[in-house]
Amino acid sequence: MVKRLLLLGALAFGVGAAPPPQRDRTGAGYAGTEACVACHEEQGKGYAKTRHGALEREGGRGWKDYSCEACHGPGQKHGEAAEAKFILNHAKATPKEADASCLGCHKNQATHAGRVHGSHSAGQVGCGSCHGVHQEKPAPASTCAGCHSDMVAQFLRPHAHRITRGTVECVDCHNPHGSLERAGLRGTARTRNHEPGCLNCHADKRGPFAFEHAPMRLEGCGSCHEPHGSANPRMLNRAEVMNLCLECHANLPAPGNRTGTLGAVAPGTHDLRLPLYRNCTSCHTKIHGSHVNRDFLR
Amino acid sequence: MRRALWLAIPMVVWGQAPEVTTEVGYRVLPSTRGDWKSYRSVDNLAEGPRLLQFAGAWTPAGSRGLDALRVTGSGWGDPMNALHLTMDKAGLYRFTFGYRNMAYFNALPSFANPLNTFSQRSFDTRQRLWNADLDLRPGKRLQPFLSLGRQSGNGFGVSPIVVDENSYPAASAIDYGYLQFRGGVHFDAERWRITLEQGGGRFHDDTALRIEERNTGNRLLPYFGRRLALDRATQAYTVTGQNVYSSAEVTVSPWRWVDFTGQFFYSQPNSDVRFSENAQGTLLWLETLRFVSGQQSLVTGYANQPRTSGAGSVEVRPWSRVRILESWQTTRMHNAATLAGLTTLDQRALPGRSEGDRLVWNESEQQVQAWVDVAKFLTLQGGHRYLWGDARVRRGSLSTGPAQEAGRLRRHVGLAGFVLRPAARLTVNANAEVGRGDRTYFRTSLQNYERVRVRARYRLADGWQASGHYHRTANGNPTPGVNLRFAAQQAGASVQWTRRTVSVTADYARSTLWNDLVFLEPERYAPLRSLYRDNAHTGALAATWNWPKNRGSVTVGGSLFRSAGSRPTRYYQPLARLLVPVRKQVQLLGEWRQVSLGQAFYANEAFGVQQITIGLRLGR
Repeated sequence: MVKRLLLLGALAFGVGAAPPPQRDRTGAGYAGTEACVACHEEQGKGYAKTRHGALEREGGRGWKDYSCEACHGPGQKHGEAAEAKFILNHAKATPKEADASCLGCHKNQATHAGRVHGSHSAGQVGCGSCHGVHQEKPAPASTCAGCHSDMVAQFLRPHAHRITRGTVECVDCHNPHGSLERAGLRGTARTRNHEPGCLNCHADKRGPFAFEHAPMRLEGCGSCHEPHGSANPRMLNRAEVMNLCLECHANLPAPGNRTGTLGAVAPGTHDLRLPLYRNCTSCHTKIHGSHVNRDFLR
Repeated sequence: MRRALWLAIPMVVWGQAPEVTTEVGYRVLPSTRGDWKSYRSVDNLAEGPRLLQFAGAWTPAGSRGLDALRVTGSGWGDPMNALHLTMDKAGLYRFTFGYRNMAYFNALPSFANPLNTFSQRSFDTRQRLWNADLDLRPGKRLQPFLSLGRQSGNGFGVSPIVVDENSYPAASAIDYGYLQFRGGVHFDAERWRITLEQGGGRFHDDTALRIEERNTGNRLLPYFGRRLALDRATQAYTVTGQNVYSSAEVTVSPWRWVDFTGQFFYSQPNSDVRFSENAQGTLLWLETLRFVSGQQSLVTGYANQPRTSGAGSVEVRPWSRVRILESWQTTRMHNAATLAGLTTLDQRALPGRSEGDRLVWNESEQQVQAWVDVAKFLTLQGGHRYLWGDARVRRGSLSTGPAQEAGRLRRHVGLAGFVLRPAARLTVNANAEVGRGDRTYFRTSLQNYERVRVRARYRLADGWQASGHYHRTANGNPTPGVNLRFAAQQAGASVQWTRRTVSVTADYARSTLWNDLVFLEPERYAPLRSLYRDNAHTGALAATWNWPKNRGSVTVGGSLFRSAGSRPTRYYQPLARLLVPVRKQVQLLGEWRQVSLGQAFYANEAFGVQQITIGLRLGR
């Protein structure tokens, strides 16, 4: 076993330890980084500070001395003619053109695995909309807010996740590259581990419970909660708990009806004229799932 | 406003010497009106010294083991604080560490009975999260990765102990934690990539409830002539759990015009439970309608929840202007549990209890989508999604028939949309879904729905940007006995104007929500209508004037939320912030903020609190 681990370690650190082979790009229309930076000094300085700068510093993927052209394409003609039309400008290119340039290297990254299903991909939102190449962009929340101003409005409600305090980020729950979960919800610890991102923080709702509350598994936390913000102190999507519960546990349709919605029969016979019974979770405290009681009382 | 709202932590200029920016201050609350526990449940910022935020970067020259080290943090001393650390060496490693500490205080009832201002579900807890991620050899062909993290929560609260025909608020001690770990390897090649990952976690929950003096609970009337009460009671949970999961992902691009992706996940979490309850007082044993003076219960249980998911897709680009995506995914889960319990009443044991439960859920989705670049400025998209699934859950306590209920899901969804770029500075993005189904799991689930989203963004000139959005979702279930009608829409606009010395950001959104559903009242079977409405205005504004050479600034603005409908609410947060240069790399910081909440139906929860923070900003 130890030998196997050593072999694996040696493989992990040994394979490719040598500098990557550099391609000879002479005569292929490339100008070289030096020529690019001679005119675009500001971009060059910014770029050198980013992680992409490793292409130049380390010669990653064989682009040493030509790293600008790794993304912008061969620039010799652009340099000679000094005309913008001879170079790929990601800010002015269509998202599809810009993405093709980025995904040439990044398509296979693990965080992008759900990208083809993601709404950003479907809506032709290019990589450059969120990511800066020449300089790092600000915190993810403010990046997202640039387009999702509708979500900004929801976070301004009195009971909301405190995204303005720096402890919660959009990407804690959502994978902007796309995910198999609904609404791009990120799996726990970025593993897409069959769990919604909500459980990243709310570990006590994780289960498995002996008695599961089916909506939590089948339709997720959003079936009862407004996760971005609400006027309700528990971020519920109804003003009264009673309505939230009894809309499903409605006694309608009658048992055996062919529509077959789950949980249609109310689990109790309480008198709703009493305020106590209008707040179901006063007694059904383990409403997310109970380890010991089928009626979620304990 | 966003600049002020999101409190973007200023990153220092890159350099070889360590550079740090820090904000320290002292906050006072000169005016506090209204319900203090409501304020704590909503905002919770208190008085005292604070390390408001800090950021630092170090780039040692010529180091073999470190290219850069960056640290950011915020809110130290406040109820919510965070720390992020990143270290990396190109081609060798990238290490990130994050720590978050979030105080959660909530003493508001989810349904506020205006006559009862005391919530029986209250929390005064702290949630702490940390995670450490290590990626080895980033950017290389073989990239191992490791991660370790923990989430925990502990504190106190109030939660009812429910004994037949009465419930008694009890002090609760909350203590849970989840330790998770994962590791794996990425194989990255020119045309394919594989990620193999294995991970797991360990969970514990040791929450306990306790009543130590006579408690008559929520039932005010005698039951068969006797007043139900608890003299002493305890409930103790000892829950431990484990989870093991495996995942594999593969992406293959054999030719420039086609990509294949595949994913597989398998997880098997389980829980082991020991629960004990001890109650003494005047209790009712409902099964025999007998009064008892003492009840003890012991329950042990085990739940197991294996789940398998798979997904695959193929993206084809037969022509340069056409992209077609076919995808399929499925998930299969079942939860199986067994319990055994023993109850004694007045020292006499009842027959042992043994029961089990099952939840089964299978769901699949198949989707085909196509995008066509009709012109350089216009992309059209269309597609079709089909969802189908089935579930079996235990029937309700009062349901008749078999022990399990069966539910099914079947829905066809049409997809359409376009991306319009009539000018380089204008983008309009629109998409629509029309769903039709004849089976849903729950009465309020999506069935026959239409959803439209439109977003437009226009850069009027350098420094000027305007954007707008419109969303509408309408859902209905016309099945006799359900008759659900739901509609929600939101329209909003945002304007940003940024100059060297002045920047203004303004957001406004108008939202409406309407839900109408009838149910039968459980006791008398009388029809009741659940009509929920929420019509809201939301706005935010931030106007900033920057000192020349970026040496200081003044920001005024704030946010407002005002809604009418089922829970009319007013929530205002005006804000003013001042940065005055004192000397090089030292600025005086001042901030005034007011937080006000008012609710028409629950006037007892209203508050208004002013916050003033004075401090220093050190660094660039």
